[in-house]
Amino acid sequence: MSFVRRVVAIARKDLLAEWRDRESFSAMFFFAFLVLFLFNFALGGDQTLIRGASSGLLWLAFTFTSVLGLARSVQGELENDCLDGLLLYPAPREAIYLGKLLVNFTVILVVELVIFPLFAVLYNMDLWSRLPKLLLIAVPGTIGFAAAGTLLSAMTAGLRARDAMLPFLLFPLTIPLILSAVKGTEVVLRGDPFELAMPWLKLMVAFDTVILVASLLTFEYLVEE
Amino acid sequence: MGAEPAEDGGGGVNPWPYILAAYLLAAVGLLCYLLSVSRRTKAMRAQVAALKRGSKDTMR
Amino acid sequence: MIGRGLERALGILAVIGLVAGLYTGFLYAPPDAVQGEVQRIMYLHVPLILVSYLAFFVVFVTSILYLARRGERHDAIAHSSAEIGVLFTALAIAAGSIWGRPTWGTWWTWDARLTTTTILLLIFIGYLMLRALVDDPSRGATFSAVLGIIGFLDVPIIHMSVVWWRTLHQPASVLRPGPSTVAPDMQVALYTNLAAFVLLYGYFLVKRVRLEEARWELSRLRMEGAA
Repeated sequence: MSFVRRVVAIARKDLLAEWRDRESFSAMFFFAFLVLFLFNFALGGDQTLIRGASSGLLWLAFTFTSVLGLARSVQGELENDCLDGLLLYPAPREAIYLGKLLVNFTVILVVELVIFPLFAVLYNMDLWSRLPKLLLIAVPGTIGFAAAGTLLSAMTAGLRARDAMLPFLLFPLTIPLILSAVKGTEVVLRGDPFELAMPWLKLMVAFDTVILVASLLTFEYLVEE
Repeated sequence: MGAEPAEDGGGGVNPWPYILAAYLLAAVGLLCYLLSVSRRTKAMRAQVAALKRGSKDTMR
Repeated sequence: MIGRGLERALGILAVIGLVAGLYTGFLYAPPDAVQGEVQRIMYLHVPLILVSYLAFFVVFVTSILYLARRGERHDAIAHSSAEIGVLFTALAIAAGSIWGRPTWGTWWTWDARLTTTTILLLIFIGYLMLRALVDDPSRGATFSAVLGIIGFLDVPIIHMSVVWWRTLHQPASVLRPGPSTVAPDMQVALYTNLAAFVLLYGYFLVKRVRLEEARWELSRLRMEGAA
């Protein structure tokens, strides 16, 4: 079986597991909605303020909801001792990482595609016309976040304080990503020329490259026995 | 902002409490760490010595 | 096993260095033209920061070595250096904050360097927490090694992103925690203190690694006893 097919096979297995776990999956969406809803109260009902801070609020919603999803997906595996079974599967460790990354990326992207319209409705913003450019910013940001998240969930899966440790390790590391994503989104939402977003895009790509290479090189050490 | 020897100390605030606070804080922090490491090492060594003594007894 | 001799030598040198540092910092170097006496905190703050960067670099290198060779000694040095690095960074930030209050009227500023340093602190506090939470020692060592490598590699990217982020908000006259050009006698004080803190770091590192070695001896004895 070729490398790519192994990656896809692992991804399919995980996606199927996610689909079967629909209840907690929908819990994620409910959480996203709650977060968006709370923004209104946090910012004193000031719609202008909220629209002004929209890029930051959107990414807060994405990252907090994603952390929930990342933690959840590894927990399911751990509870059923699936990780050991997975290691018996004759695939290079990198394939396992990429398979999981693919799934985590997809899940987070779906969450974003739900949060965008939700936010647009709640706070009366036109995000639909800007969606392609928003995605141009969101996708590299999501790749990096999912990449770091996949690596770190492998580390934190078995820990006692797992629920706190994953975000505590993930957020400081991904600050450059979050920062760039917010700035890039801000450019798009303000309607400024897209070249202004280019430096942030480049930073995200640089981050993604470093984190992917580093993760691919070190993942095998994390799952070996 | 260039730094050259000053004629006047600058500002009306007394700097010395701040200087003292900073240096004292650092000294206390560093000393506490040093004591912590020493204490833990001593405790560890005591346990090692106890185990060694214990095994000597059982080997007799 | 690292010898007592080295520990003692480093300790004595560190004390000498620190005394020399205090002398040059307070008696030899003159007060700053703009900031006055309070600028003397720089002789504490800057060496602490620079040595903490050194400490985290050591974590980076020994983490790579650990993954490559699985040497216990590498893991011990990584763990010890991370602990000391976190201590020095925290003290540096505190000293900087105390310096900032009378100088710029604020305990905190979101300037690029301070923000990056704080993120660095958070990353390596996470490192230490991970260590504390993983029960199996070899697993803990491996996980921490990966985190140490990724954390350190991330720092230049963090710094770049924060600098870009800041320069969009502020023109080039960003608040800097120190004079941009340093008079020669101030340089003497700065380098003396820097050397002193490097020696102090060395002393702490040796002491802390010896603690790890004592721990290994203990677990070895326990395992032999059980056998």
